[in-house]
Amino acid sequence: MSKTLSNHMKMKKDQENIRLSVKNLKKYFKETSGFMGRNVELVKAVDDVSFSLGKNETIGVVGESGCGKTTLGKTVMRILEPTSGKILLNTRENETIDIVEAEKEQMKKVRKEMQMVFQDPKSSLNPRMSIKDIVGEPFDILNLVESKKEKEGKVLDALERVGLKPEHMERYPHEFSGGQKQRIGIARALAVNPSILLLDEPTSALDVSVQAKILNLLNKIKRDLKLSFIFISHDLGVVYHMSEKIMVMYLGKVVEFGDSEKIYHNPQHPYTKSLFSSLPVPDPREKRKRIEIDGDLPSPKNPPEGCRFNTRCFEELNEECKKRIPPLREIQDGHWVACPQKR
Amino acid sequence: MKAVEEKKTSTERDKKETILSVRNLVTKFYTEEGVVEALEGINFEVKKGEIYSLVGETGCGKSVTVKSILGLLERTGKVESGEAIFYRSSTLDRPVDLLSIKESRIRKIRGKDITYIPQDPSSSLNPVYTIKNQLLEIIRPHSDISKKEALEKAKELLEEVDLAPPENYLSKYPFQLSGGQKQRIIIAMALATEPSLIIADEPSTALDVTVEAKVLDLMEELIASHDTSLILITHNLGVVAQISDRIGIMYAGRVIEVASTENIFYKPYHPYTFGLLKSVPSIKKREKELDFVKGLVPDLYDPPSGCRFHPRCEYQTDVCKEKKPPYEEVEPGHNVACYYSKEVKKDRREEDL
Repeated sequence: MSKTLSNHMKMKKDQENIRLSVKNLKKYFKETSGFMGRNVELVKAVDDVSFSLGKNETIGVVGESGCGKTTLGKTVMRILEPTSGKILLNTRENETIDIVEAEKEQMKKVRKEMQMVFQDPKSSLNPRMSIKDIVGEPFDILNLVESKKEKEGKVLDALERVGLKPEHMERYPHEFSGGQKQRIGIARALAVNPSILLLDEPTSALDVSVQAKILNLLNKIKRDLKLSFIFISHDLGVVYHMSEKIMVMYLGKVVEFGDSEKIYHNPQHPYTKSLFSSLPVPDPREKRKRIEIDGDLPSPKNPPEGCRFNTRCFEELNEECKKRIPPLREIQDGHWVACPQKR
Repeated sequence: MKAVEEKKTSTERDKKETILSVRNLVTKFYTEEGVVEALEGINFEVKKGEIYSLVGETGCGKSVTVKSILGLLERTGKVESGEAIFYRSSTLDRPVDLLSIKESRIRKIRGKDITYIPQDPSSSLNPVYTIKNQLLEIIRPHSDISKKEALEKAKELLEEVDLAPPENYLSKYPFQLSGGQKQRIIIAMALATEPSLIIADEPSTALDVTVEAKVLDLMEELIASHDTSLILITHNLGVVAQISDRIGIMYAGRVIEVASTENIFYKPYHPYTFGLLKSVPSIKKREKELDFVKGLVPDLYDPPSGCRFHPRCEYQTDVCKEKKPPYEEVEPGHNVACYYSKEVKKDRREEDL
């Protein structure tokens, strides 16, 4: 997979338009059991994932619980230590940093470039801190400001950007509604002027009408501040609305990647097909023609040999499906599929 | 407030027998901070064999409605007025008002004639009992059958919810099952007493889409084969569009629009319904901006006067602030509580939905 993908990337004339490129990223967890933890099992939560994120681009990551999408996000941010692989970040100052190898000082630069917005705004904001302190905290940690006054100015800018008012500065999280709390979370992430936002299910806890406002806000700041997003969600409608590219994950592997129009209107991998056909469409005239997949998700501790989807696949399996892990292949310009049956 | 009864019409659904009829249900919560006017007169009917969905955003009173009907309100909550006539009690031959009968009577109805499917399957199964134990515990007290017959019944139920062969599941504990399997067990339990009404509160929200789709199909199938009725409470418009027969849209403690699924999605008459539908991101077409209902959900400690939606409504005039709009039948079987439903009809275009 890496070879074909990096070849492709070399061919790309617009290489300088790449903000982040992830190569062969792996995150394995060790799980021990038995006497003195003698039985060690590996959980391959993220297994050999490569992709590149362009400037001003959103990649939507979809998949069901346990597919590794959140772990992928956290590993890319190096909140979790990667097992192996490369994560190359091109900063706003045109410096290239390998996040996997970065030392402490360099990590500070990375933190300034990449910020994260969490799913549950209730638990990601410290209830004992005022909004001013929450949004201002990144400046203290990263030593980005000289004076209190400068910090306050920047906090004000960030709050204004997300539609909050200056008088909100002195208030505490419990005084805000769910949607407003998520705005505070976004303001905190934006405060240090990053180039990438990692959004992990940012609207899952919100009602649809509030969700619509937050999604509009995110798209506006993406345009205004020229940001790149990695948008993780299980809600396929939301991901389609937000993303130029989609990555579909299954048991730690990317099974399909490419332009969202192509993937939504012409999914190729059997898993993507069944996933999209299960989506309840808010339109009673459009009854879903569901492609059913058998059985439950296999345990990531003990994934099936060969293609990880082969235990549930509805296509006729051939030898290759059972033996070899299929690499991502480009079947059409900008449409990558990991299935030996699709060429 | 005087609610106009949903008028009888000639549609097929309306000819069917009514199972539950809720009228002018008012519920308040008396908390230390003040009085929460949670429900301000709920009206709806559920017919035999239908899936009726109650849809609305957080805090609109969907769950409070159900809890009021079943007598399961927290201590601070009180049903102030209204009635909930249940027509299919197996212990009494006459219709009963669930809101005024004795606790001992409602206990006989709850769990037998009306059963409940909660949102989170893992917290509603007992972790220290096997599936067999938990199924028998429901089957036996409600019928006079031997242990052996009850076990047969349990096996039948498991097969009906596609957990086959049942022997594989009977001796298992909840932690050994996946989320989808647990929800199937809960559905089996809800069907165990042959109820005439099942109430499901966000039954598929905790599940992944592929599992959710299967569970919803199963529920739809079982409701039809058992000829029972379902009240589905949800905020997911996709789920509602796929399985309901009729939909009631709730806003701030009131059902503001009731119609067939087709009409709600294609001919909404209430500005809130219209706004809600437009705010869902569609996979059919990509829009640059999503529309949304401006403003915030009102504070129910101090709800707006008149129509509770008026501060957020683009059609509002003085009358909306002064008087609660009555229900009006705008089309056969389609009722709306809005003074400006005709204007909404004129303004809405199908391509917006």
